[in-house]
Amino acid sequence: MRNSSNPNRRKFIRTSSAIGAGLVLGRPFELRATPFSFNDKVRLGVVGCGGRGRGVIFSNIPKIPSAHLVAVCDIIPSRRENAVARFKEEYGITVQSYEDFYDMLEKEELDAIVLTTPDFWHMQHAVDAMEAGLHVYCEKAMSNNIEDARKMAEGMKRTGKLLQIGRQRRSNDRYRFTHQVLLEKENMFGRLTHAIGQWNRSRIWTQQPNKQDKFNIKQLERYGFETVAQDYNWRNYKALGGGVVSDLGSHQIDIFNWFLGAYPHTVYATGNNSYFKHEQADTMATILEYDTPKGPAIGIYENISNSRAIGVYERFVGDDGAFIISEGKDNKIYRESRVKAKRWQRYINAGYISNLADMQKYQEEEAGDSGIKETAPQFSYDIKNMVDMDRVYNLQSHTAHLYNFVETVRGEETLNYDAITSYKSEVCIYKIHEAINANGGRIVIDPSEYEV
Amino acid sequence: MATRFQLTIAAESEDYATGAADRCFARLDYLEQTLSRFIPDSEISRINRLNAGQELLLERETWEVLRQAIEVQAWTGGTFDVGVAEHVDIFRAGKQGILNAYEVERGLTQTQATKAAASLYIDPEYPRLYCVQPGMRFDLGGIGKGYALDQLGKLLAEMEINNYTISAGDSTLLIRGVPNPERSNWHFTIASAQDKHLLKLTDIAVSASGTFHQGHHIFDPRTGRNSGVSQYDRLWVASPIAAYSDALSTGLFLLTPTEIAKLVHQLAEISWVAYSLAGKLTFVGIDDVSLDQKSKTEL
Repeated sequence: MRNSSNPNRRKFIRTSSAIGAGLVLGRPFELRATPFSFNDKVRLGVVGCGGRGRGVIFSNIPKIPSAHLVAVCDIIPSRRENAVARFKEEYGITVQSYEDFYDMLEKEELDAIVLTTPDFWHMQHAVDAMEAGLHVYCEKAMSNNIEDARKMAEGMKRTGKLLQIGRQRRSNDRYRFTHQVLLEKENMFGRLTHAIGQWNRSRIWTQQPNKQDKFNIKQLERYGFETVAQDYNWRNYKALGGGVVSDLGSHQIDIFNWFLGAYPHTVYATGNNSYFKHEQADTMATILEYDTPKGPAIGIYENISNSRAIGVYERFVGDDGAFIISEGKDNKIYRESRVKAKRWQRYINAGYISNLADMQKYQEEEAGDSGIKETAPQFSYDIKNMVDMDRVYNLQSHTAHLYNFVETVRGEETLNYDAITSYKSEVCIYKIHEAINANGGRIVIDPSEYEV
Repeated sequence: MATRFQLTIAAESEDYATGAADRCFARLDYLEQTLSRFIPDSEISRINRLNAGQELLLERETWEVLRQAIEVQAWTGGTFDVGVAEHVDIFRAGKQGILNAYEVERGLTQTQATKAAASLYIDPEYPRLYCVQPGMRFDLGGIGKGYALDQLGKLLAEMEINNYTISAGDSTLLIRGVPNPERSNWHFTIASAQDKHLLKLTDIAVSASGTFHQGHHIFDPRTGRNSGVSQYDRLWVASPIAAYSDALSTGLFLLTPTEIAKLVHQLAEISWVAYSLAGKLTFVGIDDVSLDQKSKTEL
């Protein structure tokens, strides 16, 4: 969130007679036409113009006034040229385009690169860019193997460059508020004993190229793809991606680790590809055992790829309450009946949470005394005002995560999720993947394995 | 969007059509994630949380749909209004037993007054919103589904798919091209208690609004109450743009036949309107195809 720092604007708001204008098309004050006028903007190159790359280029970067897109890179000509044309059309800015990553590095004066490429390319590009003096934002997962992920974390340490990994929940305001205020500051739920996560989807999407996409198979082979399908659906291949636990589960198991304040010492996992028959598993389940600073805890995680009915969420259970959190519509907080309502009233008074869909403000009396009428819904709470925390981005979480990276490059923030933190979280992901590929198993993780 | 979307693609291979459908449904997920006020991380939810003096850079989709909502609000004199989420929540709290009738009434009065004092500006030149004074929360329920269909239309055009229909909850339909080389249009039926008409449509969006499923007490944003009484059992609006047909099908519902005829005459965005009045179907503007050269609509 950018609060106004322009004195004319503040004056306008103070003296304006426009109160009560409603929803109108117009500007309440004069200001710059576009946000691309920062002198100390960070010059970015985006590598990969597929689905996530387009999100970075068209959704994230334009919301970050201190970010300046200089160049894009993709091995498929139509993908990169479409990105260039659309950016020019929407923002009036011409960006350069490259097929070859190293060609871009050599010809452009960049401060940082954003990697939105298949997992198996991350390590080489990230390490080479850092060695060349650039900062790197890399989409998760770090890699499709633990050795390369480790090289990335070590590369960050060795070069002193920034390497942020794209698990955007780490910059999501509600997740940060839950961690900073509800868990760390208030200990609202007592000791967390269970973390349960699910990612349910209807199918594994196999993408088709657009009719306009042209291929040269020799060229694709040069970049590590044996077929066109491998380029478009790299997540389905073991040599190219990290599998379902890496693509989806790692987002959520990372939240387990973050909120529990620990990394698992033992994982049990299994999975198979019985439904879709791709190389990678389409169904998996894992149990993670933790010794947290507050006591033992269990994590339970599953992924289903043939029904999205139950959705995507993380659920935490503590001594005093439980909560469901997600980037979708599933978000609720529950108080255990043994905890008196009066104790949680202070969280309501602080503005942290509301109950009864925040409709209590219209009630004549206290909750439950609004007359004898129909049965009221189950008592639960929602996050209300995200206050008493270090900062609120009020940005879509992918944008906030990239914003945090760009502002760290500028020296204004510190990374919310650097490569060493990410590596620690990913260690158990690679172990789970290892167990799935071995048709199920139990793996004990030595604490030293988390160290970089 | 809490509704069912159905996509019919003609004249493409099954593989290509399936791949296109997957991309369409992924796009719908993105739009819901951006535009639904029931998702706390959505852009609409973040707008709804803004304080006085704050501004927000918007997704182009949010920017576009809010600009379209402003247009329809102006055309209809406020019978269409996206700034009524708080009203909707109060009605829901009344139904759920959280608020009694007295509290609902008092809450609506308070909310209408707060809304009247609100000022939110959409920058006409750049995707940005300024919150000078908060006090209205957005609910895009009346335009979001239509807007989503327009977005899917753009995506399908990008994939060079030109013959399809997409419906959102059966209340808005976007039609492009033809169902097969032998036919020059898609066929749909609309009906009232005593009439039935076959529509032959291509390159157009049609939305319906009615009291059949919703009852006769209609929310009127101008009063902030369920004070609206419509003359129509059902009303259809056709437009080249589904966001407009969707929003106008709600907005026109509280207008008189004379007011509707005037708007159909004035606005190129309305291809035609049909309504069911006293059991009979009436069409407005259907003969004037010059309003939209692309809308080859035949009765």
